[in-house]
Amino acid sequence: MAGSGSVHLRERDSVLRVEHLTVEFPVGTSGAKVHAVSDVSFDIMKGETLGVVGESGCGKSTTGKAIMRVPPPTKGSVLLEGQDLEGLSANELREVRGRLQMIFQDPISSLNPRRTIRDIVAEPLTVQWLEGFPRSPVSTAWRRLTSAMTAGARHPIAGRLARVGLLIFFIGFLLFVASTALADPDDFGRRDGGGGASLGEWIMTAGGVVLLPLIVVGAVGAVLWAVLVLLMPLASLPRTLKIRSQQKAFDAETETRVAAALEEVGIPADLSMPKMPHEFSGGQAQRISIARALILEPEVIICDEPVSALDVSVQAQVLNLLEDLKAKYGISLMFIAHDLAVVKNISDRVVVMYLGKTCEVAAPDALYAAPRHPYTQVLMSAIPVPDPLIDPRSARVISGELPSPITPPSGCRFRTRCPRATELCTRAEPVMTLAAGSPGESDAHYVACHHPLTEEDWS
Amino acid sequence: MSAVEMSESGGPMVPQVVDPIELIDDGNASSNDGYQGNQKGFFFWAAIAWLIFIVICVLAADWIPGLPGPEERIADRDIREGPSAAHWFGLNNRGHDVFARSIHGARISMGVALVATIGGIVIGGTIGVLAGFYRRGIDATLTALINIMLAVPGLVLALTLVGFFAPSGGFEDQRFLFFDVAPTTNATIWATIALSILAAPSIARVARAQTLVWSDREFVLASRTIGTRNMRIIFRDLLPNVLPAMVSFALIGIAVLVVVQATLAFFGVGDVTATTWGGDINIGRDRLDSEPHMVLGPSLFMFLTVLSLNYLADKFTQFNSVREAGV
Ligand SMILES: Nc1ncnc2c1ncn2[C@@H]1O[C@H](COP(=O)(O)OP(=O)(O)OP(=O)(O)O)[C@@H](O)[C@H]1O
Ligand code: SF4
Ligand SMILES: [Mg+2]
Repeated sequence: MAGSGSVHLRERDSVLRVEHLTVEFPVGTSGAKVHAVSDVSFDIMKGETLGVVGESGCGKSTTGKAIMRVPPPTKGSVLLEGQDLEGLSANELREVRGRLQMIFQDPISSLNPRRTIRDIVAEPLTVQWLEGFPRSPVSTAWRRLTSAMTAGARHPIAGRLARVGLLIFFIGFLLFVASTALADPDDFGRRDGGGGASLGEWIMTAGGVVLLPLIVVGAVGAVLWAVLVLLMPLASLPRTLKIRSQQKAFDAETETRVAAALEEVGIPADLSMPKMPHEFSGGQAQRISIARALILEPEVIICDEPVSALDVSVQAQVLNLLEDLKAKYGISLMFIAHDLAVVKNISDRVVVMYLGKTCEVAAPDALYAAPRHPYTQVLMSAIPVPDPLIDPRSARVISGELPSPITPPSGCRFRTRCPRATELCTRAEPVMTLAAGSPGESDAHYVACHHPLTEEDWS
Repeated sequence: MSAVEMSESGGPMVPQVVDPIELIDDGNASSNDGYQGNQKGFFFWAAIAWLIFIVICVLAADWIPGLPGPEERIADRDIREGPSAAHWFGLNNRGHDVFARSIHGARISMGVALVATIGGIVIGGTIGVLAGFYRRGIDATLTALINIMLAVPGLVLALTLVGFFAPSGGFEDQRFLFFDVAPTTNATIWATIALSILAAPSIARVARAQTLVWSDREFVLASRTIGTRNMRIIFRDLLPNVLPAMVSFALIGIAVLVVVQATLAFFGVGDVTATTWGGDINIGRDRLDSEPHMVLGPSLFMFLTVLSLNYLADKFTQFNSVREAGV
């Protein structure tokens, strides 16, 4: 379904608009890349829930994280209420991040085991509050220097030079140390390593020459850095005092907001706030994560398989909670799941993904009643149907493994497993086209396939 | 907890769907009880008691009433006299009380090892956490540094560093950085520095591995999504989780450093005039066959201390992994 194109994007104002999103991870040093997400576009209207489905490894989480910019996408743009997140300064981005939140798959791993529930849920408020106090010029300079040094240390040539230089230096050092240690002490207890030691010194010098430019730059940086670090406590004293003086008022205000957020998600606040994460079950932990996401009053929440790690009984409760919150606050949801069953009832629109590409975009009912993409059909037949009359052997199952995202198939990425594949699918990548309904309306049904399914295939 | 009561009283075996949130209300939700690793047995308290005793030796050996000083010649006794009621481990070749010297020896033996371990945690922890947090090029360079440091034979490095910077001739005052210090002090300082450098790379590896694991956790990602600064992530999210593993590893490290420090003294490197366990073992070893009591005292102190530290390190690790499993 290698689907590209963006005709399915609506003209109206969307809360979140993702255009041609591409995420690639470098593997090794050979220049190979994991094509985790390739040219994915979609949009979410206010109060809408967008379901994103696809099998494991198709890039759903990567899409969600790229929208959150952890890490930022390789290409493509993300617009929150028309504002492009690319090119925002760190401070502007921090502001925007409050309006866009994410809930993760593993509820236990989403909470820091060494902090109390109060601190965890209050953290977004705390971070924003602390950012409100301007930093001293010293600390700003320190941060600039640190990031410059980090960037320098990451420079490929500098890094290689450093490693080679270090290695040579330490070989010499080893020789020097060994010869010295083996020599007999003289009358004053000093040892002279003789020829071995002076050879060692030569090699050390050679290593030193390789390291020299780095050492000079590094030493200047380190001295500056140390000076700034020493000055910092003094320079930031006014800021620290100001924070201290307002801490009490902030804590009191935060306490009520944290309590409200916890009650909102059905966690008894008074009892829970001083507790640690290990004292809670998975379902409760996920509710706490939701409370943390809610506390900044976001407009969009990205839910990355928020219930797939939970017991079935708890799943429904958490889903209902999300539905209630959405209705109450008009939040838009991007809901990621690996099967259609979970998203069917809660989504207004569903995007089907395969190997980093979009296959089909439609309302869930239309997707069920009339799937257009061969992959969607396969996904649907993977849903267990509570009907004893249906023979499970009749279910369509695709053969073969998911191809490697490092070397995705040419043309349509689904062609290696697609029963309808033709030579055209190898050559050309299908683009999103309108298959039914009218553009911009809720019945619009888009598919990216050269040979989409038709009436006769559904019967 | 109605669900539990029902099944215990033989009620209907209907699968009970209880919202776990109810369980909070009975104030009993702590899942920490009942884990075996949490139980503190006799050996735990024995190890604690021994270490408290060692701490007292380190801090207050000079003020223990009736305890002879380390250089005090015990009058009207033969040198190298065997154990007696008054002198439990006997006397050494200069007529000093071996038991008293073992107690006095704790100060430098343990002091050097402890300070060196803290130094190792600071140096190694910084390298390891930075490598694990920033990854890629920075990780590659710092890992190369760690591996090179590990490749240098530790004892040789320590012997050379101390031998080079604090030669044991002791014929003049020496300088440590900008300070005039006595040669013996200088030797002790360099021994401590050498031991810190020795401890740092293995601690750095533990710190790096732990940081790699923890910084992949989703709560770190959650912190990033709200724009938390790197320093706050390192200090709030990573260090509290990485430190316990580092500390339990370093506790074993103290034990190793006590032994290495004894070895240095044994080789006559560093401050040979100081009263240390290693130095006293060195004094007594010539007469090991005829008068073993001279070595027994310091060896026993060292053995029990190392054993206690190892045992506690083990318990500490267990306790932490239980907390983890409880999560
Ligand atoms: N940091 C990374 N470095 C390299 N490859 C990565 C990285 N993160 C993800 N990938 C790869 O990108 C692809 C998409 O991964 P992703 O986690 O987005 O899948 P997913 O659809 O969320 O799957 P699941 O349902 O299992 O959560 C996978 O092939 C994965 O191996
Ligand atoms: S028919 Fe061709 S284009 Fe359509 S999904 Fe199969 S391989 Fe892809
Ligand atoms: Mg995922």
